[in-house]
Amino acid sequence: MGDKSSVWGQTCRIIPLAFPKGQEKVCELCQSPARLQCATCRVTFYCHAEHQRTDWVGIHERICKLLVPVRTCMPNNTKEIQLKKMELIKISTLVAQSKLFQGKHQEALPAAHLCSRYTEDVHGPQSVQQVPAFLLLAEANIGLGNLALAAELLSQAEWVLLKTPEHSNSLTQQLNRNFGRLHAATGNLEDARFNFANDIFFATVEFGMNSTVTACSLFLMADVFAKMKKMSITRSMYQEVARIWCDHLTKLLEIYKKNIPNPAMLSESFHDKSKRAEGERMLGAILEFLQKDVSKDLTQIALVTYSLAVLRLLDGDSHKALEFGSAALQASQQILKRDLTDAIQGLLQLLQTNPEPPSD
Amino acid sequence: MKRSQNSFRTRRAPEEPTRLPTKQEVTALTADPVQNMCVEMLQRGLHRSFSELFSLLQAARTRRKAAAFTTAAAPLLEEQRDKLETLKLRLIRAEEAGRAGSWSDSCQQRLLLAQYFSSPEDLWLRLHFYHSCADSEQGAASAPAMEAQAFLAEFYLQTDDVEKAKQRAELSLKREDEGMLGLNSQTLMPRFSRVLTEANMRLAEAADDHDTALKLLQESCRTARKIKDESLEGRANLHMGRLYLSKDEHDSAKQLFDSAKEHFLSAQDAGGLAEFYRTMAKFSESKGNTDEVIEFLEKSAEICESSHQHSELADVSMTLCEVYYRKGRYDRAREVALKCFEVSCKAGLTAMLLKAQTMVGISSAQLLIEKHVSGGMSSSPAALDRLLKREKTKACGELNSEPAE
Repeated sequence: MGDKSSVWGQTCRIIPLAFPKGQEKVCELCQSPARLQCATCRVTFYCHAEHQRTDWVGIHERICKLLVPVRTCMPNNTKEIQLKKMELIKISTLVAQSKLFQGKHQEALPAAHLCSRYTEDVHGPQSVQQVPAFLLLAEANIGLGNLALAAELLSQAEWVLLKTPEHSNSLTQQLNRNFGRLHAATGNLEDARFNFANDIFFATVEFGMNSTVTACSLFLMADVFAKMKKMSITRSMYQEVARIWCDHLTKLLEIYKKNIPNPAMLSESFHDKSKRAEGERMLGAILEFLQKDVSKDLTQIALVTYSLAVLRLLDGDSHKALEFGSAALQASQQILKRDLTDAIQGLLQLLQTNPEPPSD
Repeated sequence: MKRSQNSFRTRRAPEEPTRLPTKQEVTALTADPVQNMCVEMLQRGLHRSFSELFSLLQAARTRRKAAAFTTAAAPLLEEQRDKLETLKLRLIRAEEAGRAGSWSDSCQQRLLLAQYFSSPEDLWLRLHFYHSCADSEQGAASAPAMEAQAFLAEFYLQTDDVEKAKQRAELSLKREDEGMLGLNSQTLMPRFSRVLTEANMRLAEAADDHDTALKLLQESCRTARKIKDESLEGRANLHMGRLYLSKDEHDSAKQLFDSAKEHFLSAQDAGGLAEFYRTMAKFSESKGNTDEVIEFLEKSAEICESSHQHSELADVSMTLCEVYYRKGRYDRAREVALKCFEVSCKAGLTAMLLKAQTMVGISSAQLLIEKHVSGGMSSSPAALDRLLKREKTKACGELNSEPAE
């Protein structure tokens, strides 16, 4: 008996009593007794259609067939199976991160849970390798307002890291970022500033001052200062975020221009595109701030709208790119120093003469 | 024992509950001091100060790595607490001043940092802060920025980076002409003018063609005249005179040399006068007048000696020695060479010292030869007697000498 659902994958009903005692199937998401089974892999079960759809969108579409050997082979701790599990961990981590970059906290949960489960399976409970999964889950839960659960997850992650002094700066940076987010969400701005300050420090150490990771850390900190009504600091930090993103996008644009004759070279990973989505959200927020700001910094407005134009171009939205590009040109022509005008005019010319990039 | 047991039982709990340290306080104790400093800056929203401090620490580490095999390892910047504290304090003040729109104060903090790093191993930090002060976008016309600009112009001139020195001097003078500078900065203008004059003279010396050199020297003269620096104007005239001399325009050259002398006398510039006489010696040399050459060189040497210009004195003395030697006046050549040797020893001029030694040697040898040759050529009884005695001594010497191995 199968349910037709081409968009969300296909399922079929199962009869719980048909399974031997001790081998009852539980829902992939909520662990309650399962009534549905994925018709493709047949090793994933759900309590009802909504959970199946959530899991499909969240992660299952990408890993459906990969689960078969992992969940059917016995024993399932052979080297080959372990490698397959590590592949699943990698995919689920990337998917969860991508969802979070796009602000899709609910959709990130299935991937984050899967990551946590398989990491524990491969490396054991409370291992340092499980920390990224804790952090992903914490971030998703903060976004959904489940602050108590997020606090618990972060405490676990912190405890593991304290027990493992030789861990990477990247993990410390992410832990601080999530603690910062948690404190900001609870209104504890002082602790939020402390954690975001550590986030920026470790991001700079690990990734450098001109990295988009550091830019995100600065953006989050700027947000806290905005809540404290310290607008000059917010403005200064936003300026730095915009500069980093503009430099990053300029490099991507150069690569794009070089590969126009070879469209095949232009294809990018889902993860890269999602990261850009995060950049777009940040730049959008900065633009909104600048447009409302009393100082009306046209240089910054030009820079941010230009960056948004490049982002839209790279995502294949020429129409929106042209819109942003024109706004950038208008702003840049009103300022004395016209360093950016040439770059903006170059971009507009590119938009007018070249077709849209290929979509994946 | 019983008393202590009782006191233990009856001991009261403290009036106030003990306060647990916050997470921040614990981190402050356990984390690296540099990390604490950076985090404190960031918590206050001073991200630009943090970025600058971080870059400097990274640069210091890179420099230390590069120098590891060549020089004795100096302590890293991050290990020098007092320097870090000063950096932190001034960078924070600079950023806060900038944020408040007070660009002059911001530049002032940077200038103070530049002046703080005065030791030779911190030259790179000094230059960093002078640059960041002088090249500040918003505060470029402020007094501290101009002060930094003056230092950099003079520094580049000293280190022979003449083009850079000229650029900075010209930029500052242009700002002054456009009325962009305040009263406090105008006292620095003579320094820029001097740098520009000097830079133009050096560029003229290195120029490939005469026209470029002439243009540069004319500009030098104009600049020197503007700031009423007689000494500098004298030097510019001297350089121009040399240029005309190289083109065989002797009349124009002589006019400029005379003008230079007037300027040097007016400015009581002993160094300038000494250089003038050296130039005049060259001028006389071009006319083939050796006596005049000697006269001018002697004058130059005298001035160098009285004004304690050891290096110039050694140089002039050597030239004079060579002239005397060429003229066959070996006694005088030897005397001057000895003088040159003495001065070179005092001034630690090793190459010149060795040269002087050689000149003393060959002048002395020439004197001896002269003596013997002049004795042998005479036909007087005394000369004959000397010649006979010499030959006899020579013969005995040959008989008594050990057979060669």
